[in-house]
Amino acid sequence: MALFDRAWMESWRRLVNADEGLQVIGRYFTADLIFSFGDTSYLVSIKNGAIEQIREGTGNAPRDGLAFRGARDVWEQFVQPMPPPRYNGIFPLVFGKLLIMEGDEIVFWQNLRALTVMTHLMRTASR
Amino acid sequence: MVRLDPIVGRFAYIPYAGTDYRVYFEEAGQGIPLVCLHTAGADCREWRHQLCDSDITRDFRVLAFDLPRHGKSIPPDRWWKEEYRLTAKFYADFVMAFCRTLELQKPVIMGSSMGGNICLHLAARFAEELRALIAVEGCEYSPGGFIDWWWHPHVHGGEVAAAAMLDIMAPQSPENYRWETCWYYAQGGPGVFKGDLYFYSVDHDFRERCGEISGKAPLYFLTGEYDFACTPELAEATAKKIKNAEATAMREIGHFPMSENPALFKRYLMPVLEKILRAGSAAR
Repeated sequence: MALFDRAWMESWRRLVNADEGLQVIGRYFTADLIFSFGDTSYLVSIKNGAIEQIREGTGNAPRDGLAFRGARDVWEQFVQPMPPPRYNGIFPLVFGKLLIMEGDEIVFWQNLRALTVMTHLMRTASR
Repeated sequence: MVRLDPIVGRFAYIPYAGTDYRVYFEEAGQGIPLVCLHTAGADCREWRHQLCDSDITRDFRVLAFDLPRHGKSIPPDRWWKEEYRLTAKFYADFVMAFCRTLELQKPVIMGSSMGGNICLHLAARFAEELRALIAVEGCEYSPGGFIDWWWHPHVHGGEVAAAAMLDIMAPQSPENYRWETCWYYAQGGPGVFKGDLYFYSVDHDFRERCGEISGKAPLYFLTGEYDFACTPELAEATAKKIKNAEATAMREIGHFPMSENPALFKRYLMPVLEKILRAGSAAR
């Protein structure tokens, strides 16, 4: 398993789907999200706070969803066990323009807590 | 035997501009008044650790109050008819009204985030009445925070504010304290966080005004390296423009030093408090 490969994504999916908190706070979180790690992209389908499906490839931001696009080294910093300043969360990454967010912005604001917890679990997937 | 915090909470009526504001405040300790200002959208609970720290309360009477609309301080009459926007004038005036009503003699003001930013206004306008100011996570200009999503009918304002704040704290800070800070955010009144950010990001702009600060009351900037809204570099650049100011960067701490990691914050705060004490002794 290497960072951001298919096996890593599946490892992250298992962590997300096993997280007790997400089962509560993500109950109404259903959306398609694109994560672009440099040249590697996935379409992640979230249903009720769990990752239902992961597909490789990319395209435009999904309708009623979001795309998070960033350079590979930005994500590499983010997934460190102790990420450096400015790289420690999805909110600072987007607000600090280290990630480009495209799509339906309301999905981000409505589900920021679940998104934050979900993306934190990428750190555990990287260990 | 019951375990009690040394904090005493009370309500005081603070007159300002024709209104008697019913204001909640907590205090502990004795000595030099140290008035603590909470962050945007939060309340005085953020200072509970410092209020309970005998190393601080031995020499300082620590007071922390909830601004109107925050915590247990109710809004003024007719609040439901207007959009709340905190202004620099109201905020600075109200801090001084609190100090004067409680007859605090030459207090030290310590504020975080918007409470740090207001320290510049207080230093410019009221230095003669103040002993010193400690701007935690404060700087001359902090744009970008005044956005509609903080108060939008399709977004839970408490949840979104709390979630956004989680990651402007340092990952090294204890998890329970980070989430406790989020809890305060989740409890803010509708539109209050956004209204406070009007001051933080719009009405506060000291880029051309640092020269107005006389330096009669020393100004100490303490800034966490994980605070991307007010970075240590921004605070240091601000301090360089102000007479009798100094800046310290705090490693492994974020935007909420007093509540996210009180033990680590104490290591940076105590030397500043000791300087203030020494200056007081020298002046006698």
